[in-house]
Amino acid sequence: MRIRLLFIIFLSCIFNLHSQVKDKTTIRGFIDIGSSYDMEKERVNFQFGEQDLFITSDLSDKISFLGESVLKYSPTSPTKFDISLERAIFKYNYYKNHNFFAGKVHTALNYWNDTYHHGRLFFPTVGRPELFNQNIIPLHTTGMGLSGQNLGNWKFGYTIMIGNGLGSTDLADNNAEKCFVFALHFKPIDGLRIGGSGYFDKIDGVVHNHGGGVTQVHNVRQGIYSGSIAYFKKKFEFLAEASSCQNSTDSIGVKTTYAMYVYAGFRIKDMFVPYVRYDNVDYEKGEMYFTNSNTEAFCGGLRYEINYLASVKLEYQYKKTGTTSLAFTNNIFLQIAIGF
Amino acid sequence: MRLFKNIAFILLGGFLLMFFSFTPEEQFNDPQTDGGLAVVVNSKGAPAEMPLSKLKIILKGEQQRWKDGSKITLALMKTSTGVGEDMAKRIFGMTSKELNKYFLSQVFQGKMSSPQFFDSEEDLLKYIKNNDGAIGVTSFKNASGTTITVDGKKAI
Repeated sequence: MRIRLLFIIFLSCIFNLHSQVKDKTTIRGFIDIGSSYDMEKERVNFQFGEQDLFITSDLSDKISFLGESVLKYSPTSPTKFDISLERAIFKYNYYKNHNFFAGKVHTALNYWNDTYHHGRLFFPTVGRPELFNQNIIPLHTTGMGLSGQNLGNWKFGYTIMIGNGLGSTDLADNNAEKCFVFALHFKPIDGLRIGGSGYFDKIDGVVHNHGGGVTQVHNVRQGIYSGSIAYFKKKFEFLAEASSCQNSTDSIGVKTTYAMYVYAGFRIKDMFVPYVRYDNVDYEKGEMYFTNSNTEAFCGGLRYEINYLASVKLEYQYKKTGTTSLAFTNNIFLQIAIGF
Repeated sequence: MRLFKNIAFILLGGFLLMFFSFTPEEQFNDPQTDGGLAVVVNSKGAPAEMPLSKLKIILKGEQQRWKDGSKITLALMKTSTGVGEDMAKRIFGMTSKELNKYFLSQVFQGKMSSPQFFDSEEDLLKYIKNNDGAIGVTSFKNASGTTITVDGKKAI
């Protein structure tokens, strides 16, 4: 039913494209380079991160396009670099602050995935939280949906979408079942955003997980529920998110994974932000879909915002992984992130 | 010993980079725009008056359309100009850096279209006149065309 409804809205958008023609295209880019010191191996490494090309285009007063492609190191590529299309979004503003969109998007699950995308310049820390690194959250979805923002006094916002589910490609779904995403948030005061989101999919056996690896041969029904609270003001920054992922199979029943992180930063003299972040990922015993390795991580660092297009982060990271045997990593990172 | 040497190497590199790229902290200067700021609009779309809180919502890109349905287009002076810097402070309550970062992140998230930024007030006024639904901020003394009152005042 919801698929039909979205399809009808899509068709009505197509037949109403007679809006005023405009052509305003902007191309921007983001890049990060850095250095790390592995305290266990006592080794210094220099790193090139991602080069992110970002295009926005207003095609008319109602239609816009957003594209984001990333060039990054890939050990499996003959050239050692890959180009990946991270976002390609057609948007039609059909009424006030309400939009129809179609294409490849960052799944509107969680604040981080919906806000920071690939520009490391915007990241409050050097890297993503473990919640995203461990492939629990499906980072991208190709499909279509509706979104709205800044509605009413509490600046309510929503996203609902359907898309190709897990194990699919950007061209076709691998089964008849579509994934369904919803996200709601509101901003009761300036700087504060509180939100919740959900993701539901039926995953066929022998499919790729969120990170691209083939992991299992059982059919899985997956439900992810996330909550987030973000507060970013002149002096104080706070961001906390928690997700619960339930994987259900016929053979072993429901297994639940919990993942969360808390970030806090305090701005000193406009440019310096010392910060800390704590991550925890806890898999239930018998979990079969994810790489089953409990993780606890801590990082603390200093972000220096040279201007709005350049920042430097110096960060210490400690990570403990493993369920039966534990592995520890200690690293110091230096990252320079710029926009151009 | 080697461990501490390497840690010292990374830390030293980081702090040297920060030190050499240091620029003085951005301060709110005294208003540079004599006579205050004026809000100029295209004849189509915008109301004749609005409270400052509403103006802030519109200039932050949180409202996409006027009541008549025409798209709101933002025309702003660059924050490197005196008018742009005053606008950042008086209307948004932000430094130039904060305002630029705000717009960049909103556009990157796909939440709004990038505002048009101008070096000269003359170009800004011309743009507003020629684009339906456009709204912008200029110095009160140089304002021309249709201006609106904000909190009952012509100059902010």
